[in-house]
Formats: sequence, C-alpha cells, structure tokens
Amino acid sequence: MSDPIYLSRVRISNFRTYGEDFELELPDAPGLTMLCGMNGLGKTAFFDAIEWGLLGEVQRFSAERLGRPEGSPLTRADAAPGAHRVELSWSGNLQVSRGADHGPAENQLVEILKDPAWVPQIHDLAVYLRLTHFLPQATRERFLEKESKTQWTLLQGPAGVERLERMRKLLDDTKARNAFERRINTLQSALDEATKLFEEWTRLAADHNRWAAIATASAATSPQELEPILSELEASLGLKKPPGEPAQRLATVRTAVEGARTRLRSLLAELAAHDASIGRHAHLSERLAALQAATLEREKNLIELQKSESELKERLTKLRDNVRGLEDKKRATEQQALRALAVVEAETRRQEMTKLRAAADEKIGSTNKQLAELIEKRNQHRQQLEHYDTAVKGRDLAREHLRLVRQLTEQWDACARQLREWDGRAPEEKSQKERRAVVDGQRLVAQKVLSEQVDKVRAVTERLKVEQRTVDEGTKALAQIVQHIHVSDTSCPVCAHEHPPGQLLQRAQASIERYSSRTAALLAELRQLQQAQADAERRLGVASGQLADLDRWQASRVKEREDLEKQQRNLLGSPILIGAAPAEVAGVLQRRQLELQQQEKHLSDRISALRLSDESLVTAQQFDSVEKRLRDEVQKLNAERDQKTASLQDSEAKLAVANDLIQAHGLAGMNEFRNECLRTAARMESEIRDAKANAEGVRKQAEERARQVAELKAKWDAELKLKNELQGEATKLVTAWQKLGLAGSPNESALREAKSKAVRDGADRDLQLEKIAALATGLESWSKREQLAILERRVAQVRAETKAKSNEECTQLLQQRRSERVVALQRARAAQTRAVEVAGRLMQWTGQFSRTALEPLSARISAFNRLISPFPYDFRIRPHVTPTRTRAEARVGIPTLRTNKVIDRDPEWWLSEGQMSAMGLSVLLGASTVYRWSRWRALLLDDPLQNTDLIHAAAFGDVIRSLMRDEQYQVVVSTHDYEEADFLARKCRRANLPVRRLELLSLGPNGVRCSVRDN
Amino acid sequence: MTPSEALQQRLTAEATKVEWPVRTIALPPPAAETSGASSIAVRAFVAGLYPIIVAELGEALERARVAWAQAQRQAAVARTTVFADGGEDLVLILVGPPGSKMIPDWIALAMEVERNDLVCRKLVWLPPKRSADFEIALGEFVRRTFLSKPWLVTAPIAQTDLDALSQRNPMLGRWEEVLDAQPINRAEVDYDALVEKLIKADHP
Repeated sequence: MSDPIYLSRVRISNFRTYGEDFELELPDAPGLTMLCGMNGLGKTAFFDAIEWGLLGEVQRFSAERLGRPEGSPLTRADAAPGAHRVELSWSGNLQVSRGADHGPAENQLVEILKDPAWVPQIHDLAVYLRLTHFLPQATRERFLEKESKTQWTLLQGPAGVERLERMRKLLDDTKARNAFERRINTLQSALDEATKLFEEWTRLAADHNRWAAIATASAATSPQELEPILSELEASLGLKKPPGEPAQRLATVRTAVEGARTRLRSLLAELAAHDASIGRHAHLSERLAALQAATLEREKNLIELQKSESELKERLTKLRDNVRGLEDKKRATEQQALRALAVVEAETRRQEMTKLRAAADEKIGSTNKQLAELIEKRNQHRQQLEHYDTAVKGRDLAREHLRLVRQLTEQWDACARQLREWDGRAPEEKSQKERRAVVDGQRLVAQKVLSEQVDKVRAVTERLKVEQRTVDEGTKALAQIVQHIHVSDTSCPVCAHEHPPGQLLQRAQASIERYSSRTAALLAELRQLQQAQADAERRLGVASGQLADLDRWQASRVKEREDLEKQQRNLLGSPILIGAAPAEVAGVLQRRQLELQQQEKHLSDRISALRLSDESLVTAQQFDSVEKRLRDEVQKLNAERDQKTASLQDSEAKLAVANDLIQAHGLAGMNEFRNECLRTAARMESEIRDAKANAEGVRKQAEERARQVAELKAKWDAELKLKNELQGEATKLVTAWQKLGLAGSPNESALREAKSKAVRDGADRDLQLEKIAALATGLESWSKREQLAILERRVAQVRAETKAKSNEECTQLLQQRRSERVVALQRARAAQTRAVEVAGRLMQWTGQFSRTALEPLSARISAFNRLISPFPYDFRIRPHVTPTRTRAEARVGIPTLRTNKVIDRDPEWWLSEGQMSAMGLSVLLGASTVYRWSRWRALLLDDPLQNTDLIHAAAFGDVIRSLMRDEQYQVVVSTHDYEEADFLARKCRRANLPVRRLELLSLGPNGVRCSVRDN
Repeated sequence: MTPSEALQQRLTAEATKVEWPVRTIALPPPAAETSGASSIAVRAFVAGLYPIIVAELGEALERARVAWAQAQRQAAVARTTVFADGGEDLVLILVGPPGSKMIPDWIALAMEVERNDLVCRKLVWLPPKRSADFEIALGEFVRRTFLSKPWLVTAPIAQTDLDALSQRNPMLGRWEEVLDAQPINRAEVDYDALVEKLIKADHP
C-alpha cells in the first residue's frame, strides 16, 4: 500500500447523543481506539456519525426515516432540526465535513480514501466501505439474514448480482420463453394470413385478366350447337357415344384422332425402312443353295485329316516313353559310381582320424599328471600361510584386549574419584536445603498477602461499581432536574424548600459535582490497593524465582550422583568385570592385564618362527600361473580330441550307409566296380541320343497334320456362319412384310401402294384435329363468360375490403400489409434471440463475479474463522453457479466425531448467535484483507464481541493486534465490558501499540459526558 | 522425534519465518501429586509476544484429564511467576498420543479442552499415527494458532469491481428500464406485456 492515512480527529456536533462540540483525537498511527460505556450513551452513534460523515447515510436508518418531516433521527433531541454536523480529519491535512445542508462530493472522498494501486473504478463508495470497514452492531446487518436466500445480500445486493440475476430470470425463465413463443406464433399466424390473402388476390387478378381476354377473344359455341358435330366425329372414329360433358367428349375425340395420326406416321416410317431390303431377298436364296453343297465336301476332307493326326500323336508318345526309360537307367548307374567313390574316401579318412585321436589322448594324460603334481605342491604352501595368519590375528586380538583392560582401569579410577568428591560436598547441600525452607516460607507469606489484597481490591471494586451506579443514577436524576430549573426559580422541586433567586440552580449543579466527587475517594483507595497487590505479586514472583533456582540446583546435584552411579554400573556390566564385586575390580583388572601380556609374547614368538621369505610369496604367484597354463593346455587338447572323434564318427556313419555295396563288392573291389558303372553310363548316353532324334521327326509330321486340320475347320466354320446369317435375314424380311399386313412375298409394287394409302389417311386426321380445336375454343369461350361474372364480384369484394381504388392499388396494399407483418415477426424473433443471448451474458457476468470476488473471499473468511473460533467448522461462501441460476450461498462443514466425515450444512441451522457473530467478524476481516482498495486501512467495529465467550475474545485480540502490527491497521472498537477493554488494552500495550480510550459516562444537558485516556 | 518435540520445532520454525524472536524458558517443577502420579513432560518457550507451554497428555485417554489438570496448574504457576508480564498471551498447547487424531473420544476431549477458558488460552494437537504425517498435521494445526496470518498469502490481491455491476449496462440498452420496471415478485409479472415492451423498446 502506498502512502497510508489514519483518521486523526472526529468532530461531532448535535448528532444523536453528542452535544455541540464533541471532539476526539485518535492516534495518528496504527493502533487501537476504544469506546466504553453503558448502553444508550452513544457508542453506536459514534460509528453512525463516521458513516454519515463519509456517506451521507446510515445503513440502519432508511432514507425515508432520515428525511421525515418531524426531523431527522440523527439530530440531537435538544438541538434545532438539521443542526447535526460531522467533521472527519485524516493524517496529511485531509478533511471532510458534512452537515444537513452540505457534504463532500463522492469523488472527493474516493480521491482521499482510494489506494492508487487499486485499478477498478469506484462508483459507489458505500458498497466498498460497508464491505471492508464497518462492522455494524445489529446481527441483521452482519451478513446474517436468517432467511438463507437473503443471506450475504451485502455482497450480492450492492454488487448488482441480485438485480442482474432478477433480470436474467425475467428474460430466461419458462414463462418468459413461453411468452416469446406465444408472441411469435401470433405474428406468424398474422403473416400467414396476409400471405395467403395476397397470393389469393394475385391468382384472382390473373384469372380475371386471362378469362376476360378469353371471353372476349373468340366466337362462342354452345353445347347444343356442338352436339351433332361431336356425334358425327365419334361415329367416323368408331367411338361409342360416351357419357359426360361436351368438353370431356371433345377431349376424348381429340385423343382418338391424335392416336390414329401417330400410328399412321409410324407405319410410313417402317415402310420407308424396308425399301432397301426388298431387293436383296432373291439374291439371298441363290447364295444359300451354293453354300449348302460346299459345306458337305469340306466336312468329308476334315474327317480324313483328323484320323491321320491321331496316328502320328500315338507314335510320338511311344518314342518319348522309350527315351525316359533309358535316361532313368543311366542316372541309376551314375549314382552307383558316386557311392563307390564316397566309400573309398570315407575309409581313408577313418584310418587317419583313429591315429590322430590316439596321439591326443596320450598328450592329455601327460598334462593332467603334471597338473595334479602342481596342485599338491600348492596346497602344502597354502597351509603354511594359514598358520602364519592365525598367529598374527591372535597376537593383534591379545593387544586390543590389553588396551581395553587398561582403558577400563582408567575409567574405574576416575569414577571412584568423582564419587569421593561428590560425598565431600554434603555440607553445601544441607545449607541449600535450609535456605530453600526459608524462601518457601517467604513465598507462602507473599501468597497469603496477595490473596488478601485481591479480596480487598475485589471488595473495593464492587463498592465502586455500586457507588458508580448510585452516582450515575443520582447524576442523571439531578441532570434532569437541572434541565427544568431556570436561574430565576426559587422553589426546590424535590423538597419544596425556598431558596434565594439564582441559588437553587447553583445548589443543584453543586450536588451533581458532589456526586461525582464521591467516587474519587474510592478510586484513590482502589489505586492504593492495586499498588499493594502489584507489590505482593512482585514479592511472590521473586520468591518463586528463588525457589526455582534452588530446586534446579538440588535437581542438578541429584542428577550428578545418578549419572556417576549409572556410569559405575555400566563399567561393572563390562564382560571383563561380570560377577566381580566393586572391591574386587582393581585385582581382577590387574590379573587380566598380566594374562594378556603373556599371551601376546607367546604369539609373537610363534610368528617369528613361521615368518616366510618374500620368495614364498613369489612361488605362490608362480603356482597360480603354471596351473593356469596347464589347465588351458588340457582344455585345448580336449577340444582337439573331440574334433577328431567327431570326424571319425562321421566317416563311420558314411561307411554304414554304403554297407550294401561293401558287402557285394568288398572294400578292395570298390574302385573296379566304380569304373564299370561309368562305362555303362556312357553307352546309354549314345542310345538316348538316337531315340530322341527319331522322336523329333515324328513330332514335326504330327504338327503339320494338325495345322492342316485347323485350316480346313476354320473354312468350314466361316461358311456355316454365313449360311446362318443369310437364312436369318430372309426370315426377318418375310416377318416384317407380314406384320405390315401386306399379302404374298415381299415385292416393290405392293410396298409403293401401301405407302400412298398411309399418306392419304394422315391428311384426313390433320383436318379432323383442326376442326376439334376450333370447337374446343368456342366451347371454352362460351363457359368463361359465365365464370368471369363470378370473378368480377370477388375482385370487387377484395377491393372493398382493402379500400383500394384499383386492382393495382389493391395489390400494392396487400403486399405492404404482408411486408409489415414480416418485419414484426423478424423483430420478435430477434428479441427472442437477444433475450437468450443477454440472459447468457448476464449469467456469465454474475458467474465471473462469483469466481473473481467470492472465491478468494471465501478462502480468506475460512482462514480467519479458523483463527477466531475454536470450533472445527469449515465455513465458506460458495458461488453456486448452475445452468439456471447464480447465487452465493453460505455453507458450513460440520465434522462428525463417529464417522470422521464432514457434512455440508446451512449455517443458519447449526450455529449459535455467538458463532454467527464470530463469523460476521471473519467475513469483515476477510473482505478487508482481500479487497485492499483503500489507503485508510481501518476496522470500525461496533461491539464485535457481542454474544461471544472469552475464547473468542482472546483470539479476536490476537488477530486485531497482528493486523495493527503487521498491516498497519487502525482499529476502532466499542464495548460495554470494561474488563474486555482492559484486556485488549493490555494486549496492545505489550506490543507497544498506541491505545486511546473514550469512556462515555452519562448523558448531560450538553450531550454525553465522557473522558479520554491513553493506556 | 516425539510429537511434542516435532510441535515445538514447527512452532519455532513458523515464528522464525515471521521474524519473531524465540527463546526457551525453564519452568519451575510441578507441584507433587497426592496419588503418586508421575509428572508430565512439559516444555516452555517464548515466541514473539506469546509465552507457550507444551505438555503431553500421555498415551491413555483415562489419564489425559489428570495430565490436563497438571499442565493447567503448572501454567497457572508460570503465569504468576515466569510469565507475569505476558499472562494475557500465555498459550497452553496440549499434545495427544500418536494416532489420537482419528479417535472420536480424543477429539471430543480436545474440543472440551479448547473451550475451557480457565487460566489461559488452550489448544490441543492430536497427532496422526505415523510420524511421516506429522508435517501435514502440524501445518493444519498452525493455521488455527496465533502464528497463522491469513493476510500474508502470496496469492495476488483480488482486484474486482465490487459495485460496477450495479451501474447501467450498455449491453442491455433500453431493456434495462423495462426489466427494472417489473415487479420484484415474479409471480406478479405479466410476461406477455413484458415481451411486447421488450420488442418495442428496441424499435421505438
């Protein structure tokens, strides 16, 4: 915060209980100002005055009440109406003054109070001050509406959330949506009606124009005139006289004539298409006969060729089988030759491998023997080394034991010496005990004196309270009497005694002074007693301190003895001294020391005897090296032997496979057998070549025969196909001729005659159609004249309705009406869309406020509440945002003892008045420390501890003291409890914070009487 | 580390964090018990303005009330002797056995102790079972003590319009007047008329 300010002076004039010229100077620094006094003297009025001075309004009074005709409740009862004034001054010569007829502008106050670091603009200062500075006395105004729906209105109301939420509901609830739908439906119906009327009128006007044109354009033919003509036409077309209107019958006749004309046109087209094919008919017949003869000759030749081809194929197959048999025999002979060669090679390898394996076995045996000798020598060497190591270890162990025994001897001697010294300080202990008894006696005396002083102070305080009440009541009564006595009055209104003029009033005022002075003596006595009490407390403190020192000394001595005895016990617990009595310890240790020295000497001698030369160590290394080399060699020889064995086994396996050959020809005759096989194979190769040449000749003959057969068959197929085509064409021509209804076989003269007849019939049908069209037009003209009269009546009616002078004007008016309704509907729909959009934006806005303003506030309130209240309730303000509503609600988490769960509840149903009061305070402290908008960091707390117990009061004192020290807060507190005020003053005094106390004493003719003192 | 040692260490660390001086205090020994009960373990120190006495309630719930009474007597003596100047700020912190945090009878006793206003302000810490969880539990406990300063959080200060929403809203335009003119009680609102007025408001 930059450049903090502090309220330094409050001047109040004729405001509520305050008189003409009340003024209070406040500490111009972080600190505490307290207002103390009984109810009704003006504690709340003091806060009202500050609130009114700042805002021009007091929250607990409505604006109507402040402006009522009989006078504002803010003006003191004895003062002239509207005479109340408030002047507030802050450090840095900042000052505002407000009276009934004048006051500071809000922007001037914002300028004074706003912290420059606070970014948002302040439009309504009252919202900010009530949220962060003022804690009103009335529970209702501490956020604590009993109705949960109206809770936290101080947050929601001024911030506009409620108002915006109300607006949103007006736009977005079901009733609003239904109203929009109703309105849109109504407008849509009106638009539909206008559209329908306009379209009907457009059609009506068009029909009217068209029919009027028809009715006046041609001669009319009545149904009576039409009847004989129609009958004639129907008869000429072979139609039966159909029932129905003349127009319908005329349409039937026209359809029949048009059908006949279409059929004639098709016939003509078909006749023209047959012109070319008629001439080909005779030629086709001749060609068919020639083809028939040629096909028969070709079929006979084909059969002979196919027979010859089959014989050649059969011969070729036999020759190929012969070649395959010869080739199989040759392959078998070659295979036997190869097997014989493999047998010879395998036998040679087997003999060679047998020799090599025997040599390897011999070498392995020799190496293994060398290795066994080496291992035996090495084991002897190792045994010698182990004897040497054992002797060295034994000697080292004896030396370590000897060191431990010597150390134990030293510790034992030291412990015994310390015990002797401790025993030597016994007289000093006795002296300290005697001194403690004396000091304890002094402490008991001091305690007794203190108790007596406390009783006396209490008694005097009680008397003082009674006296104060008496004085207050007497003062008040006398003050009322004085108010009604005029300086010229002579008769006492109490005792009716007469006094000289002017003296009665003086006597009454003197009586008030006497009443006031009666308490002075008691106060003096109380101060003396309090001083004596403080002395007694100090003496008690001194005695207690001395006792504590003496007790610490005694405890230290006892602990020293315990430590020494514990140390001695630990030493006796050593394995060397187990079972030894304390008196025997020295002898035991000495004996043990001698034994160990002898043992060490014996082992040193043995080591000298066993000491080995460096050569021994070298020999050990060589053993390892040679052993490794021999083992590597054995391993290598074994691998070689395994390789030879595998090769030998392979050769034996190959010989086993060829066992049949070996038995038939023997190993010696195997080469001769192989040569015989190779010769036989060469002879067979020659025979195969001859057989293949013979087969190739036959194959070529067979291929030539097959080619001849294929050629002949292709010719025969082509002739057969042509014959079929010619036969099909001739059949088709005859069928078409017959279909046209022409007699005999197709010929050109008959075709020409048929075409001429078709042309003539078509011309007749065209004439009939023209006649029918003329009749239809005449009939329509006759009927439209009747309907035109009906249409003209309807047009006149619409024009009368629209008050149009012409058809064009009527069209224009109806079109305009429709356009207007379109616009109205569009506007309603736009408004409906906008309502949804605006409601969404309002929802978003209020939700955002909840997140940015309420969430940090909720966490802070909860943290303060944990500090102030000993109850483990988790209190929070929860923004409750749903698709349909946004609101802030207060919730409290109540832990359950049995299940150790936290249940979420409405605080209204769970918290007492005192707890709610503490929470109201937490809310203010939370808001004040979260929203740091002002450089006047102040808390104006009107009776903040109402309904709370001592625990809450102590925690409250801690919190506000920390805020004053850490955050430079200026705190103004009111209370009617003097002990509470003393308690807060003492706490602040310990922290070196300035404390000013305004004590409101009684009401006088010039307003409330009060005194100010600093603690 | 015992729970009370852990507590003292944490309180000392928290006090040092806010730059309060901390010093250990030797208390006079407790008065002898008539029934031969063993005396309780008590440690005392001053953190800033606050004299603090930490005492253990022992393992057995049935002996806890005796321990509480002993600690309270010792606090009373200390208040008039060692802490004669800071009696207003004296805090007695009683520590339950490990695991008492989840035991309903211990929780009930703690609530009773904390609401007792004799001699001085009292707080009770019921530790969790595992010492590894002490740190978190101590954090929760410190938030209930005079060492907690909610205003010192590092979160940015909330800067928000506290009254801007009550101002006229350009988004609403002429609708604002129409909506404001509606009755507060929505049951009395004529929605058909409202819709008509809203449509007209945009096209006067």
